[in-house]
Amino acid sequence: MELLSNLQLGFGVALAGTNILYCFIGVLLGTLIGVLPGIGPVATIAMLLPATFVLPPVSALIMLAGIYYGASYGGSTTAILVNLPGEVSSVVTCLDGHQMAKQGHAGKALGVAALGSFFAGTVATLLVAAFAPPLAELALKFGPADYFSLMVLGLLAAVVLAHGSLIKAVAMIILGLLVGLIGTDVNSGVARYNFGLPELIDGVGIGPIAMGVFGFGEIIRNLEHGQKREVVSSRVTGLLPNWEDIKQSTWPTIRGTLLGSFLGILPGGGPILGSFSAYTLEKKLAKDPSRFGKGAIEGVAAPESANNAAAQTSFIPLLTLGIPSNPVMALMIGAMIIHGIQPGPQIMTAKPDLFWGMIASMWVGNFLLVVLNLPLIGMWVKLLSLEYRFLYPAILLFCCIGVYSINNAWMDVLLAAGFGFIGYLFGKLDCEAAPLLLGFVLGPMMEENLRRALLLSRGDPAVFVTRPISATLLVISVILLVIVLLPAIRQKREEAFVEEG
Amino acid sequence: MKHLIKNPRDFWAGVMFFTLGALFAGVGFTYKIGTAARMGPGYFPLVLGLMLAAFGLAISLLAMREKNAGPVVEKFHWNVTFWVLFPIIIFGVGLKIMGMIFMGLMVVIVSSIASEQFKLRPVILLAIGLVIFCSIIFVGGLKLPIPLCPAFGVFEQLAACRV
Amino acid sequence: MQRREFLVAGGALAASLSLPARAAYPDRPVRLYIPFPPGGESDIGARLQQGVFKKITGQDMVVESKPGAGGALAWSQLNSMPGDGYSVMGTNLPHLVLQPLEGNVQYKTDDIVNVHFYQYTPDAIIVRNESPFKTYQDLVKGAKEQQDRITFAGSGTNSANHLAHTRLNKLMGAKTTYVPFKGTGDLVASLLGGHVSAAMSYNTLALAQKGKVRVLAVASEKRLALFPDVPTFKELGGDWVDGAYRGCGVPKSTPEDIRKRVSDVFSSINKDPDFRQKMAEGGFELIDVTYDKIPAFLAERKQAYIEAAKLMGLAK
Repeated sequence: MELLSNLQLGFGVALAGTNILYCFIGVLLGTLIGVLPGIGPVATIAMLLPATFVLPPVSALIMLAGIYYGASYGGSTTAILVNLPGEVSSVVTCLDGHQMAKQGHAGKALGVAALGSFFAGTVATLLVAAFAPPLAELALKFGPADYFSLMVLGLLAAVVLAHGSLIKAVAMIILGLLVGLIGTDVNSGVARYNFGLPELIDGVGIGPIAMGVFGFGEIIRNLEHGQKREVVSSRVTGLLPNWEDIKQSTWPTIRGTLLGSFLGILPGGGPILGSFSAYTLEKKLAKDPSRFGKGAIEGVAAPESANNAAAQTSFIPLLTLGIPSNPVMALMIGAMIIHGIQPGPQIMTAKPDLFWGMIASMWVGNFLLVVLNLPLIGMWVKLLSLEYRFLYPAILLFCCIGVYSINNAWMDVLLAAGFGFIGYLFGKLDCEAAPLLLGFVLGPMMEENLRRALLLSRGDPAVFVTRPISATLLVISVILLVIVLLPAIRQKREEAFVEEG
Repeated sequence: MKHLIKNPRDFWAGVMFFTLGALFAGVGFTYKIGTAARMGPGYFPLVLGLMLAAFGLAISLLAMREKNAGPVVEKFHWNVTFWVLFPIIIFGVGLKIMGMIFMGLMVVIVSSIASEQFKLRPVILLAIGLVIFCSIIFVGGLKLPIPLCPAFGVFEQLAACRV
Repeated sequence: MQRREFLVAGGALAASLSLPARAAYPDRPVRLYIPFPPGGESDIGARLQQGVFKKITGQDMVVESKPGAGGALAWSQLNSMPGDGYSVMGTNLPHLVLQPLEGNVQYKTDDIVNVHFYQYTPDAIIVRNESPFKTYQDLVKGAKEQQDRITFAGSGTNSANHLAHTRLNKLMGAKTTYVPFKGTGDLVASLLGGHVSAAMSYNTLALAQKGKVRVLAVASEKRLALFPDVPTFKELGGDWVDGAYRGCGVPKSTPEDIRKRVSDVFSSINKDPDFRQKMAEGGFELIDVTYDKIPAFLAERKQAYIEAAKLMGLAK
C-alpha cells in the first residue's frame, strides 16, 4: 500500500523530536490567537514569518499550519463563552454554543466542540492523504457559473439559520449582500459606496462587522439590563459531555465532517460555507427544529466539526495545485517561497517529506489540540465566573487591538464601533445578525462569479443551466427553497396562536 | 398610530430595511447600470437595493396587519451605548499618536463607567494588568506592529518604546 | 559602460563597508510599509530583504503591511510620514502611474519620491498544458479567428495585467476578452480548470504552476534563465519589455543624503548572493535602479504606460 508507506514517511517526519515541538508551539499559539477576539491567523502568521527563518522549512511550515487550524479551534471557545466569533467560521457556533453556556452547559459545549473537531480533523486528514489529487481535480471543475449557483444554494441555506421571522432573515441576508458590495467592483474597477473615503475602497472587513455586531452589540445589551442579571449562569452542570451528549452528537459530527471536508476543497468560502450548511442540515433533519438557537448540542457539534474538517481540506488546493483558497493559504505560499520551496503541483513528488510530513502533522496537531484543550475547559468555564464588570472591558480592549491588527488600520476600529451600534439596533428590532454576516461574505463572491460567468458566456444566461454542476446546484436550491418555505408557512400560523396563549 | 402598528419591532425593522434599501438603490443608480447580460457596477446593487426596500415595505405592512400585538421596542440605553463605543472610537483615532499603553488604559477605565457597579480602584488595577498583558503578548510575543508609546516628546528617547 | 557599472558597484560596496563608521543611519529599526496584503509578491520580496538588511546594517527592518485600494491607500499617506529615513514604503510600477490616471486616488504620480527600484517580474502569457495553443503563433491565429471567445484572466481592472492585455490585443491585431479577477491566486483555478483560454500574468505564476502550464511569451529583455525555451516579445516582433516593478520610496521631506543611503542599502541587499539565489528561485528578476538613475527610468516607464493607457481609454 502506497498510502501506508507515505503515511509512515509523513509520521516519521511529523513525530521527529523538533517537529512535534514546533507543531505544539503552532497549535498553542493558534489556540491563543483564536481565543483572543479579533487577532486573526493572517496577522499572526505574517508577523511570525521572519521568526521561522532560522527553522528548517518543514518545521516552519508545520508550525505555521498549526497556527492556522489552532486558531480555527480556539475561535470556537470565544464564540461559546462570550458570543464573539473569533473567526468567521465560528459565527454559527455562537448561535447554539453561547446559548448552552448561558444555561450553564459551557463545558459540554466546549467538550463536544473539541471532540467533534478532533474526529473531523482525523477524517479530513485521512481524506487529504488518500484523495488529495483527485479532490483537487474536482475543485478545478468548478467554473464561475458553478460558483454562482453554489452561492445561491449557500444563501438559501442561510435563511434556515434564523430561528425567528423568515422574512426578516431574508431581508438581513440582502442587507449583508449590499454591505459586502461596498468597495471596488472587480469587474469595472469602480469604487462603490465608499463615500470618497480611501479606507473603504477595499470594502469593509469581516473583522469589524463580526466584532461590532456580535461583540460590541452583545456587550451593550448585557450591560443595559444591569449586572444583577447573570450574563452567564455560573452554576455549571456537567463539566464534560456525558454519554448521552456524545450519542446525540455522533451523527451530526459525522455529517458535519463530510460536508465540511467537501466544501473546504473549494477555493473561496470553504470553512464558512461548511459550518453553516452543516448547521442548516441538522436543523432540517432534527425532529424538533425549534430547539436550534436555544442551545441544541447538535448545533455546536455539526458546524464545529465541519469547520475543522474544512480547515484541513483547504490545504488540498494549496498542496496539490499551489492555489491559495484563502488569505492564510496565500501566506503559506509566501512562507514556502521564503523558505526556498517552490509551491505547486510538483511539491508532492519533489518534496515528499514535506508534503506527507505536513499532512501527518495535521493529525498530530489535532491530537495535541484535544490534549491541550480538554483540561483547559475547566479553566475557561471558571473564566465565566469572573464578574462581568471586569470581563467586558477586557473583551473590549482585546477587540480594539485585534480589529486594528487585521490591517493596521484605525478606520477598522471606527467601523467596528459603528457596527456595534448597528448590532445593538438589530437586537432592539429582533433582527438576527448571522444571516447578515453570511450574506456579507457570500455577496461579493456571488456578484463576481455571476458577472464573470456572463462575461465568459458572452452574455448568455443559459450557462447556468447547461453546465451540469451549476444545474445540479440550482435544482438542489429549488428543492431547499420548497422545504424551507412549506413548514415556514405552516409554522407562521401556529406561532401566531402560541404567542397569543 | 400606536393602535395601527400591531408589532412595533417588525414595523420599525421594516422601516429600517426600506430606508437602507432605498439608500443603496439610490446611490447604486448613480453608477453605470448596464444590461442583464453585460452588467455595469450599478446593476447588482440597484437590484438588491430595490429588493431590500420591497422586503422592508412588506415587513412593515405585515406588522400593521397582524392580528395579535407583538413585543414593543425596548428603550435605548444611550448612556451605556456611549460609554462602550466612545472609548473604542478614541482608541481608533488616537492609537498612532498616543500609543497602546495610554489608549489601553483609557479603553478599560472609560468603558467600565458603563457598568452600574463602577469602582475606580479595581478598574485601574484591571487596566494596568491588561495593558501589561497585551504589551507582552501582542507587541512582545506576536510582534504586531502596534505602537506602545506616544509618538512625541520624551517617549521617543526611551529605549523601551522603540519597537 | 563597464567602467560605469564598476564604479556604481564599487560605490555601493564602499558604502556598505563604511556603514559601521557612519553610524548616523540607520541607528534604529527601519519600518518598511508594504501597501499590499501579506503573502503577495511585494510582501515576499520584502521579507526576503529583511534578513539581509539586518546583516548589512545591523538594524532590524520591520515589515508592516498597509494594504488597501491596490496600494493607493498607503501611497496617499506616504508624505505625511516623518522624513527621517526610518519610514520607507514599497512602491510599484505601473500602479503609481496608472492609478492617478484613472482618478479615484488621492496622490499624484509625482508626489511619490522613489529612491530605488530593485526587482521586477516580467509579463507573461500562460496557458494550461491541455490548451490547444502550443505557441504564441497558435494563440495569435486562434485570437484572430475567434476574437472575443478567447478569454484572458488577469488580476484587477485598469491594472498592470489589464494594461498588458490591451497591448497584447494591439500586437495580435485581435479583440480578445479580458476577465478580471481579484488577485493572481484567484485566477489560477480558472486557468487550470480551463474556464479561461489563457492568463495574462507574470512569470512567477508560471513558475508556481510548473508542470501544469506553458508560457507562450514573456516581456523581458532577454530570455529568462528559468524558462530558456520561452521566446520574448522582442523576438516575436513586439517592442514590449514590461512587467511589475518593485522598489521603495520615502516621504518628500526626507533629506537628499538619507534618500541616497536608503538606495545604497537596498542596492547592497540586491548583491547578497544568498538573497539573489532565493529571489531567482522565486522568479523575481533583480534590477538595480539607484537613486541617481530614477528620473530617467521613471520618465521612460511613464511614457510607455501612458501610451498603453491611451489604448485602454484611460488617458487622453
